[in-house]
Amino acid sequence: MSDTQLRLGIGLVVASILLPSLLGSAYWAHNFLIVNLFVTVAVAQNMLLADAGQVSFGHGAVFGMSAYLVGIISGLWGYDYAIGALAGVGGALALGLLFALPSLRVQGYYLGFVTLSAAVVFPEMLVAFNDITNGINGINRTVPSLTAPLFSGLSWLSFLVMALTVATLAGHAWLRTTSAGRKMRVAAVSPEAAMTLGLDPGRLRFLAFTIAALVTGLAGTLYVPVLGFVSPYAFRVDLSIYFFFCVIVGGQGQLLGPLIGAWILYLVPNALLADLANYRLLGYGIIALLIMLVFPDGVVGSIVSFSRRHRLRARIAGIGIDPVLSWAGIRPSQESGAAITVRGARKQFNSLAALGGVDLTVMAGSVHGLVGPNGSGKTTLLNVVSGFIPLTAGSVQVRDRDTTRMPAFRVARLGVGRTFQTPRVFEQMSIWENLEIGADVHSGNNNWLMEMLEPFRGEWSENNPDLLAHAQRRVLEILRTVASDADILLLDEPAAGLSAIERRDFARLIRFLRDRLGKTVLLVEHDLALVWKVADRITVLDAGRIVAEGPPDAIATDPRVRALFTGSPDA
Amino acid sequence: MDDLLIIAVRGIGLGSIYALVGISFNVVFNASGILNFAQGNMLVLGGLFAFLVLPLAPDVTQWMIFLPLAAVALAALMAVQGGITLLPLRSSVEQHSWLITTLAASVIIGAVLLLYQGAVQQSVHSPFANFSLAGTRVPATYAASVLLALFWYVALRLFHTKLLVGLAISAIAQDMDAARAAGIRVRRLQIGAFAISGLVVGSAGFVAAPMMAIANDSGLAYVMNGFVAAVVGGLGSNLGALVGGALVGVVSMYAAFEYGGEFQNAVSLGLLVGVLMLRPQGLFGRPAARRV
Amino acid sequence: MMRNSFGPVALLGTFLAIGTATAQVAPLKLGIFFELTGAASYPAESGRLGVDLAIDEINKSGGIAGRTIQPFIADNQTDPTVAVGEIKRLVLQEKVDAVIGPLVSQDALAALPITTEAKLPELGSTGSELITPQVGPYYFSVLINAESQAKAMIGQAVAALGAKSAAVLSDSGAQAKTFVEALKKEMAARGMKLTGAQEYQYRATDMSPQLLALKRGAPDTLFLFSSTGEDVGNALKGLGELGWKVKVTGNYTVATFAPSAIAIAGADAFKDVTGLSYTAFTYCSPSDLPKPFGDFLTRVRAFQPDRAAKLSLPYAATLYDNVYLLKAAIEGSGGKTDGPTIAAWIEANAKDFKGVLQNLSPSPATHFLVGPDALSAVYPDRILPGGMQQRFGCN
Repeated sequence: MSDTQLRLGIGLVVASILLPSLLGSAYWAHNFLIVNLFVTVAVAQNMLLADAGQVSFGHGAVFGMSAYLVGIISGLWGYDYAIGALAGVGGALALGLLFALPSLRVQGYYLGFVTLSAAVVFPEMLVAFNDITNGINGINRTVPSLTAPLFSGLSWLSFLVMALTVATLAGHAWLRTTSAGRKMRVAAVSPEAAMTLGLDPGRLRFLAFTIAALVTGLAGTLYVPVLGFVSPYAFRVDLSIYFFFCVIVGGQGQLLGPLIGAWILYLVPNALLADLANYRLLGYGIIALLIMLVFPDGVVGSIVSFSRRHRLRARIAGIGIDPVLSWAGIRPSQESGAAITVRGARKQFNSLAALGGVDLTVMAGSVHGLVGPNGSGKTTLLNVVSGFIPLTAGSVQVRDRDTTRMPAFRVARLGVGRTFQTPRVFEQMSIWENLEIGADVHSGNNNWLMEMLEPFRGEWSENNPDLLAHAQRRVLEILRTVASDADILLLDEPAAGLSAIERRDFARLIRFLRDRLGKTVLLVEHDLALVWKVADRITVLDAGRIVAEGPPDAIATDPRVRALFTGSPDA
Repeated sequence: MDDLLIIAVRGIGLGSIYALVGISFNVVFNASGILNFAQGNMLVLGGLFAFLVLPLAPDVTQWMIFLPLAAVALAALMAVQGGITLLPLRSSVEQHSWLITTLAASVIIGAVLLLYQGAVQQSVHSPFANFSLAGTRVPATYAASVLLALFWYVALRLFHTKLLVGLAISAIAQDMDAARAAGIRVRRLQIGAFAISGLVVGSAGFVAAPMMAIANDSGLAYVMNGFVAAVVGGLGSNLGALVGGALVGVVSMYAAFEYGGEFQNAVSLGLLVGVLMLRPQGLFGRPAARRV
Repeated sequence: MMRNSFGPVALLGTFLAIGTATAQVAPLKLGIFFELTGAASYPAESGRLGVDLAIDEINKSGGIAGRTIQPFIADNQTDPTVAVGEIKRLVLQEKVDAVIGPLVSQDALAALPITTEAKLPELGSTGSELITPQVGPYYFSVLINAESQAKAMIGQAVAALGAKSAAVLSDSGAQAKTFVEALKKEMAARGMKLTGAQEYQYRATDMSPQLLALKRGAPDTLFLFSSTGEDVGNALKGLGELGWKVKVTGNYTVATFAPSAIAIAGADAFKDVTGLSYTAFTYCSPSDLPKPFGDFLTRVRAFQPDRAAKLSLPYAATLYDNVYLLKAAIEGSGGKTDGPTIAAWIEANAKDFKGVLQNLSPSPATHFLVGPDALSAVYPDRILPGGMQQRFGCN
């Protein structure tokens, strides 16, 4: 699907630049140079929005920054165009990184507002600082060495624009196959899941903003030779909104989306409706409205989901754990002593004490069950160990490292993996890619799990996990954690929603993790039978305090525990 | 000192328009998660209604009669807009199609205004006399608009806590899936929220008309400032919108007075960025619950 | 809803032009390159009415040098990026012979390299002095440039008020910025004190902070430079509400768009206000009205009464003159339409041009058709239907 889109996209870009010139229409040639520059920026915006999950309503300012620096340095100060272009890209990168800073603090539309503010103020500042920018009157700067025709109306500029647009489209497709691209997408969909894989979402956001700024900056440097003129009016907030809308109208996340969006939104009002003058805006509004009503996921997005719905697909066999369990190698626990040590953990949420002074020691190479009624603080404790929630008082240690104040992704890098009550499975990626995310953060050279699963690669690469049943999503999530080579696994209610047979398999999997792979498992679970079957030790929590702690047999007879669960634990 | 007093009073008056736009945002946002970009032009339409129905020198009776009509007219229009905006959202919720549909609605309103009256700005006269302040006169509209903002704040508070429909809309705001599971007809209530938002913005446009620019291209400024007011106050919080509107009005006026009109936008948007960085949920917003 | 009629009318006009053209020689393709949408759309609409009337009249009386005018409309949206695309469409796609417009200097600056390269004559209405004959050798502007307005306004303030100090209030648009720069320079040259400069956003309704800030400097006069009548109205209304009785010396807009300002602020607000207008649109005694403009008013009202009632007719007249000046230049050059020939003809002969405007004064050194001598201060509120205003000092 994405290959088709990429090929089609490249074809359209090349044709849109070559054909008008070859057919002798300088007007259309000019229009398509502009449009392809805008396509380039929109592709960057698509990457930023769909792959990295970052909402920017301000990339017109990044584009304008680059164009203006070219104008100032090569137009007003008389330096070479190349020097101006270099400075333009540099300026765009600087502004792009400035946009990335608030992304550490705010997300979603709030981030959009911050960047939007920059885009609103940018042209006003171009005017206010008229000593440098020549103010409202703008800067004339033509680059004849680039625009001089080589043959049949084509110039070096035509080929530069074509190369940039094609490279950006191809680059976006390529980024998605890389480990960095996958990490970015994980951090976008679930920053929590990313952190449990040891990824720093903040750094990935910076990476995404840097790439977007680089591409946008490059496009900005070419704006100057295409137009021959820069002025504050050209970089109003409308331009930023336009870039964002290209992505939505085309279909966010689709490789071809921004191209289609940019074409529609630029060509319809400026070329097709140009003669209508006063009616242009009305026509534009109605067309935009109709497009979204007919194509709610954007033009390309809706076509893709339509064709997917109407394609017959065999439901895949699913993810079996048998091939995994058949692994012959044995890696007994290399460690001894405590894997996790929690001392005097207190956590207050306003007036509510979620944890009222909890001590917990999980021995390396053991399965440790954590049980208790709803609201007893089990998940809070798990979140404390993962580093998601800072403690009000007390300390946490992973092996001999104090992790009390450590951010979640650093805790994860100590080899602490985890799963969630609702499995964090990424439906935009194939099943195989979901596993690869784990393998991406694997520290060692050979990943036995991925080798074991190699026979399934073809099938799993073609299918997205939206086809998977609930139990299989859980298995997929655990396999991903195993693929990441974490040796301490925190499992949050992994058996919820599983059938009896699935639970039996699941118990086998947990034992396998401990006995054959030497993992340490901290298991939060409501299914007491399962816990009693697999756990080496059990801690019982109630209202943020430990009620009992010990081996399963001892706990089972503890009257306080029996009272807590109204009946015997085997029930 | 007098100057500052005048700026504070007028700033709060002008800011009450932003507060009203902010409140009307919140009504739709709470029920649907949608930020309606067309709200600025809806406000302008409320003003245009006043221009069309009121004579050059209106009396209080006429004004009182047409005020509820303006609110109802805009409520009907916004219900239609809401229906259209929510239509494509049936198939998937995560897309941003509403960004386009609400902006397209705004563009269409602006374009129709341009075709209807050209690029001119209409003016409406108030039936009330000016009041005096520190040796100057301030149009009564400033006070009327503040009162209207307070009225809607109280009315919506009662609506959301006392009436069953209001409670149901509040339930959607809390958790849409749970509300749906509980048998609440979410879509119908969301369209209802658009209509209520239309009541707010229609009455606001009518009351504030004498101090508004009623033109095809003035909606953007109102929608921007209304956004800033809502976000500074905390999206979803009407108290926040009231305070945010007043803040934006006063701060931007003070910026114009002290540093020059060219820095008005920069300063009020600086306020927005500053608040978001220090308190991402806004002054009165609830922090988003973390779900792990 | 009467506006709905122009689109079809313009299209119909185009078809008619094509129809008649086939029978005769090739039509003269005229690009209409205006800011039909965006910040400058009201003047653009007004100007377009003048252009439409001129084309209608000329085509009915045999065209330009026997060629029917075929208009091509291009809306540059007050956006230089679009302006470049649109001028390329006119020049390269439609292959127009000449261009009327634009009205905003930044659009002109962006588009001029293309019309200059194609050696097309272009007659616009822009105010920036950056557009010199070197930048646009075949471009002429009928607008009073910012420098001329600044000179005339300062002259008025000094002569009528004996002003030694002044504050300036302007919108944040492009022309206003150019004007404020020119004003500052001119005031410095004359030793006048600038007590404060403030700007407001286009369509602002409450300018009290700006006015309060300017009031602190206690200037002898307030220079008001606005782009719309509504903004003038709100500024004067603010002055009234704040009780600041300052003499206002206004620009061309303050005079030309006075009716929309009066609708907001009332006629009383104009007691201490002067504006600036083309002398050709002014009168001294109501019994002695300027004939060319009076005739124009009659014709434009007969042509399209609905539009004439809404738009600025003095503004329409200036763009109307542009088309006739182009006609005179082409016919005076033996039917040639290339830029160098037309420009040379206008530089040499425009002073004898008898349009609504007279006493044009372009030269190889300046392509501004109207100089400061063609301007007069007026009482904006002493306005006759159609926009004729009484000159300052007359009764």
